[in-house]
Amino acid sequence: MFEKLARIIAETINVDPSDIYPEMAIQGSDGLSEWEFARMIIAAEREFKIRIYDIDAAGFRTAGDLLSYIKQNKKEKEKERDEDSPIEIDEYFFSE
Amino acid sequence: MQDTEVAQQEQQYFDMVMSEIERQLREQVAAYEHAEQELQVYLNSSWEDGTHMGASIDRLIEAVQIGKFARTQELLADKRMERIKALRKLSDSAYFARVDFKEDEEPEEKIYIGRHSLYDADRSLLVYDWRAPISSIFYRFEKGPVSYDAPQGQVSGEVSLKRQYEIRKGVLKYFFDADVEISDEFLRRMLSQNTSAHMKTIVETIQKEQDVIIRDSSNDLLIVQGVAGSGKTSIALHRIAYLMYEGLQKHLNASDILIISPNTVFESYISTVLPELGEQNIQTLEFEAIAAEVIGESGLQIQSKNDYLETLLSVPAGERRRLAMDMAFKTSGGFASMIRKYRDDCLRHMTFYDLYVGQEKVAKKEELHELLTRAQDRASVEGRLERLRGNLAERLRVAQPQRHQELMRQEEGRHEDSEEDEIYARMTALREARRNHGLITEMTRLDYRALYRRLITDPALLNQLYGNGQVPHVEEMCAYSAEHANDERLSYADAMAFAWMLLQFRRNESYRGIKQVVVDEAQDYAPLQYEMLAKLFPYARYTVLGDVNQSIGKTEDERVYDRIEHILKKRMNLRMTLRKSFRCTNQIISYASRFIEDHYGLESFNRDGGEVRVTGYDTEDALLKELPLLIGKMHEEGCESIAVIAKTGVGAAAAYSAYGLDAQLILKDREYDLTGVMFMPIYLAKGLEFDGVIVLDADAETYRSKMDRRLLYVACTRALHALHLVYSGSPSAFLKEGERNV
Repeated sequence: MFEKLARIIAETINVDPSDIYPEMAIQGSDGLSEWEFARMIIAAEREFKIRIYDIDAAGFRTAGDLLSYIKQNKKEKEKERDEDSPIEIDEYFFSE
Repeated sequence: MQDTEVAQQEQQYFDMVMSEIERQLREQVAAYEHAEQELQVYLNSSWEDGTHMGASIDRLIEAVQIGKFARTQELLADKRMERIKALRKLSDSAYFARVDFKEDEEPEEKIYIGRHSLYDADRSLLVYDWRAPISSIFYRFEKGPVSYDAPQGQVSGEVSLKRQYEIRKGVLKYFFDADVEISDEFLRRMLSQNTSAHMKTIVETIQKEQDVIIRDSSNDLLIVQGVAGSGKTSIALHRIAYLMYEGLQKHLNASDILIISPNTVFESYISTVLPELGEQNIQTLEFEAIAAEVIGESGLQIQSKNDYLETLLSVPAGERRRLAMDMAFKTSGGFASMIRKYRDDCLRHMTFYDLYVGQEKVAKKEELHELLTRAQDRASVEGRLERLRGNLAERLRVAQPQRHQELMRQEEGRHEDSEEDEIYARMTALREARRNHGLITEMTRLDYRALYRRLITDPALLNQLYGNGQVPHVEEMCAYSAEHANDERLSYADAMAFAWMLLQFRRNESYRGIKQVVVDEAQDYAPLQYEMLAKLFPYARYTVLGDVNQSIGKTEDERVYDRIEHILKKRMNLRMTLRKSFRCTNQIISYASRFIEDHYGLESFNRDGGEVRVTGYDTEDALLKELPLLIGKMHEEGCESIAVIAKTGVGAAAAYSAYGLDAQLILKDREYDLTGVMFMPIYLAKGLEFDGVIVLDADAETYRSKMDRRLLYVACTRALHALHLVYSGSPSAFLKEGERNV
């Protein structure tokens, strides 16, 4: 998932995706410009088909923060979808 | 020596018990080894099946079952190992006492009592565990009518014989009949032995009043005031063993019990008692560790209690006064309640802002204030703030779509293309969100360190929280705190007060499961620390043991126990006093009694030893030169462990380096092998005992205050057999005081 996100960020700021790493600052004085940040958020929403709330985005500091937000969101969506699916293998295996 | 027929019978019973132990031991060891092999075979075969591989649910379920099987087997193996260990102990010393007991209408029974119970193949008891209800009659009664509390109620009857055995290394050495509870002669022999590096068990010599404490399970708070050498700590540990035995039915196990201990030296000293009694060792914690856990900042340095004491005892008088005052105030009950009030005060004075999304006001500051300070709110402040944070973020999320639309309308057609319009609109939305995010953070985050600093450096604030005029010496104390406000390390007093403050703001669930708390050296903890215990272990029962005459760094009296009762607020309280000192000889206890005011009817277990020696030297050098000779003399008298005790660590270290022969310097809070010759400060010698003790520098300069006098008491009462006080110049005035009759 990080590769996808790295591509989006790289496209936004016009660098090679291999230059993007999770600890990279995306917001704040050493981060992206406001315009770049807005563009990246929109692109991420489209790519991952989720909504990123502005108030949550305001708390991101690194690419990693954004990544965990996306993962969390995806998980919640899937959970809604799978509410009535029979067994969570992970949970079953690791419980007890 | 003994009636031959009786001796024969005893030997027969002993042989029968021993062969039963051996039979069971063989059986258990074989079963243990067999189970190990079986498990290995099972695991190997399932591994070869490839059960661990593949992803189908069936396979996973199978893998889980293998895991469960292995775990069950492991638990069984552990149980078996425990039993093997217990049997091995029994094979060393199968039992130590017997009582012949006749319950009213029943036939007479011979009750043999040992460290563990032993059944034969027909499930009849060959040896009763010392903790079994019936065993209490051995500890509590002489021959004649007796009774004991059993689960089904009180059982009464008559004891016609009490017999004690000396069984060592699987050999019945001798036995004797005794009419009294525990024969004094036997106990005297035990007490005359040299001490060892670790505390010993006392199952064979538990005294009546000690037994009452060990077996008490009806009180939520048991307070024991016991004179030096009365066996407080030992009793506490045997009580834990008893509770675990009793707790088998009540699901009390080692992880539910906690000992609050003064330092690591002490912890290592007591660490073998519970394993000796066949129980798992339990968690011991120092208060510093509790405070660190509550504060929860990684890398935070906290001053240890020992470091505080060393500083207190070695600084000049003026500085000492300030230190002691700082400690007394910051760990007082009064300060604890001021901190409680401070929490509400902080809440009242928090700043709130209106929150907007575009022109729309989504939160009013008055409303936020109301949300946070609502009465009837059971959540902690931290919990409330988090809730508030979530609540505000949610309002902003709800308002987002509409705001995006507004902004899109504003930007429409103003840029190259619609995509660009959208980016500009989002940019504005994000800028607003950043501002709101900043406001929310400001409104819902507390800088606890700053709050604490303000509390301890602002006299007006302290007076206001005190609510009763001026806090005594408030200016001076605040000035002192301000001087140390930027210290990298938190002082012991500040760590306690700061941890207590944090507990007002956030919950700490780390110790929720603790059901029994044992506080040793209880006189050394302050009210605020007991408040902390009450908050951290709200559902626990307490055993609190102390000696007000041994308080270090402050002076205490019996009121310390009233405060503990008041703070811990338990339903059922019991207070006991142990007056008899078993550790020291008559001579030592009589000598030491001059250092205390109220000796709580201090009694000595009647055991004689050599006279206490006091020797003066012209100079410190002369004293130190003589030290090897003095130690050598104690060795000659049969002392194995000898402690040279100084008032401070600095003093101990100086004497140690002058000594130059084989010895240990006990200075740091860590584990030591407590044998041979040891140099140490008094505060680390607390709770320990040695065959011989040399008290260094008992001169007028070193020991002059009321507090110093108690230090002398603590130092002297560490000695079992020999005590020697030395000084250079003129002796401390306390040495000249008359001794008391005990």
